[in-house]
Amino acid sequence: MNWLSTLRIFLAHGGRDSLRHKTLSLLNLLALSVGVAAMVAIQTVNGTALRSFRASLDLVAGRPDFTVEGQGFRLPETLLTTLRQDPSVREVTPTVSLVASLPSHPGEFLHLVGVDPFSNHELVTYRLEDALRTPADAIAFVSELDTIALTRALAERLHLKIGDTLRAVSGGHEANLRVRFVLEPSPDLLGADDHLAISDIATVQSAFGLRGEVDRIEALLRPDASGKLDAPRRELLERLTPQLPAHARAGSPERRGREVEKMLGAFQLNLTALSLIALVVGMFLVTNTVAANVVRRRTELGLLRALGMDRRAVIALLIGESLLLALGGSLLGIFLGLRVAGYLLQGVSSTVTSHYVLLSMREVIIDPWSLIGAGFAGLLAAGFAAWWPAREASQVSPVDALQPGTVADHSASRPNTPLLLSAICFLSTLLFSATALYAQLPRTGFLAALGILLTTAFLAPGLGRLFGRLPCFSTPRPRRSPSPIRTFAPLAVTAKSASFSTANQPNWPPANLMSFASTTPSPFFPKWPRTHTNFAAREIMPSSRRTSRAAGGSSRVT
Amino acid sequence: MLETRDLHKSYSSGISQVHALRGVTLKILPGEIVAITGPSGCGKSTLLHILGALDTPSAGQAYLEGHPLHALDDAKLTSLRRLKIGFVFQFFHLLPTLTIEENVLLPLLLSGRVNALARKRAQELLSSVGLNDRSHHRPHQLSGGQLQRAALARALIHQPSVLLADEPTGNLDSASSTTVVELITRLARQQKTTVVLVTHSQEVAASADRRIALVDGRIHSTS
Repeated sequence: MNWLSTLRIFLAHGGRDSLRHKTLSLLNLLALSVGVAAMVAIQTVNGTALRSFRASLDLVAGRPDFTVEGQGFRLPETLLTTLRQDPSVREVTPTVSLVASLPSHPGEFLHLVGVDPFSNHELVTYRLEDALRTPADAIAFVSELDTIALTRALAERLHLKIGDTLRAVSGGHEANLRVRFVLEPSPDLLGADDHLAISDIATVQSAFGLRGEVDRIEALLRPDASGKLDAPRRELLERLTPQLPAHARAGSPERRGREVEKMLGAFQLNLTALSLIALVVGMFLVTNTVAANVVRRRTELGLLRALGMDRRAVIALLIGESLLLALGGSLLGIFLGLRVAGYLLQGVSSTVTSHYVLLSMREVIIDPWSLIGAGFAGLLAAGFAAWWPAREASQVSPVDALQPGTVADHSASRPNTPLLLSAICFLSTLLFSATALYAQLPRTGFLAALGILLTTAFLAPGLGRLFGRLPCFSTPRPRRSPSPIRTFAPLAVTAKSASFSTANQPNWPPANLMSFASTTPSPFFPKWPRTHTNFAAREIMPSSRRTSRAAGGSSRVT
Repeated sequence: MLETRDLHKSYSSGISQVHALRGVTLKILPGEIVAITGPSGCGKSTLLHILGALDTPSAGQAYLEGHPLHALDDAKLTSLRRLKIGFVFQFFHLLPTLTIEENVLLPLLLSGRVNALARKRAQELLSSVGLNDRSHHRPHQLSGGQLQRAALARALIHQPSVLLADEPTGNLDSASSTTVVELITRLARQQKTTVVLVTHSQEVAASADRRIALVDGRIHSTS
């Protein structure tokens, strides 16, 4: 049977079946869309945080070749002279920076950076020269001790005009600063913190009691004969190191960025793992939906097999249907994810600021590749999730499928397989947890989290059978059969809300996931297709008509 | 030609073994119409499933036009079903999402042979079974007799060498039964198709060239 034939049957039959069963199709679509939405939202917020952080770093620090930083402590201004006199240094500029609260604008703050406008023009990424249009402006900037330049975004948000005064408080010092200029950040610094305020270094030092002190010194170096900066930077570091205070750090400016990004990386990995868990839960829902489809369409599939559809084509047909829905789910998920990202932005911004680095994000930065990746992840998840029940469907004997009222009890021969898998996953979880704790490999904690999820999933069929034997569950209720779709819905909602609610937690999620696992209603966990078949058999057939199927045999003799 | 030699089929049911066929040997000639009769549980459907490459025997041999059905793997059996066998089932089994014409074309769709000629043949077959005005209806819009006639058209669309019918009139009233049986015999003779009918009905069996009675998995009589 060729693929073109499969495609034609899919177009003629598969798509129409999805349309005929709108509720099931919608559930499938929503399951994936929530998973994809979680991915898109978290990836987008992560991306926004990272880009904002990088842009803010560039905005404040400029793009020097060499930096000396106090790392939370101040540096003596005398280092500036030392650097200026070094033969490898072409340009050098000091910076003092602080965060000042604005009592007249609760919740807002200034990231006030004092610069030397005469020495820093080659370094900065904001265009101060736009503000300093006339010689009088330049003179005002350095001579008027209360003058600051604000970003346009902040000025507009605080309704400040040029000439307005702003009261700022930092380190027990209070100053009235006058807005004299508006800053225009470079276009490539999209997402940078708009709380930046620039002032002459002398203004900041005198207003906030920092005379003779700077926070960082940035330098441009003279390249060597080959046009590279590595050797001059290394030599300068060697010469400078003996003169640096113990707390100071000198070197490549990317270093600090890398360090902070590494810190943020762990946090973002945490969020990404949680978004993937949402997608995994979406996969369980797809598996359930396709499995329910297989049970419902058993006769149809049996007929197609009887008429000559081969097993691979059955698999392709079911996976194709799932992918068709996943396409809609992914698109919907991308749309929802971007909306959710807007809501998460403030929370993630606050968490990163509280635990890592000052970060202010106001607008979502959309990365098209991230959206395409999430869409593909949704399709891949749907295809992967549909594979198992599709494979099960392809194994259905046409003889069994076409016998009215006969549902073979396939799982009877292997009832302990899920339990065994559950035990293996549980042991793996313990191993990964121990590795994370004792071998200091925190990333294996994510595998432990996945292990918890799979342990519970594989345990569910056994628990389901156990609960099924309880008197309160054992009475057949054909009109309210425990459809896998209905039983799985609470789990999906729980897991996905757990993913979203933990998105703002800075710490690695064992605690969150443990709590997620403990809130998961295990008896309602998904059942593998074989168990659906069991369920269907129990629901629709009297026990006398159910027979185990021997190898190669049909379940009825007529 | 269809042939079986000492065909056995058994199933396990819990701890006991059920012997559905116990050494069935028969030969059905090309173009012959054979009815298999017998009480419930005698193994007639099981025999039909093996002849139709839907099931495999536990022991013995079965041949369809020289193809050893007992020795082929699933892919080859599937291919044989697709190309050489037409099925008519008791419960019609038309796909509810497809129109009657699409259902009839399904075997050709599965083998990638749908073209204008195939559609013309589908229309001719639907006309032969009296459903030319129903080709764009869905199965739920047709009566039982009409559904079985559509299923017959589907079974013959790809001009199979063998038509297997499992209780084709088991779900029909007597008028529809007569029509369906007449159509099966007439169309099969036109196409020179071998027909194996499994039936409880003596009237249906009477329309066949030969009747084989099964009892307890063995051939009891041939007439």
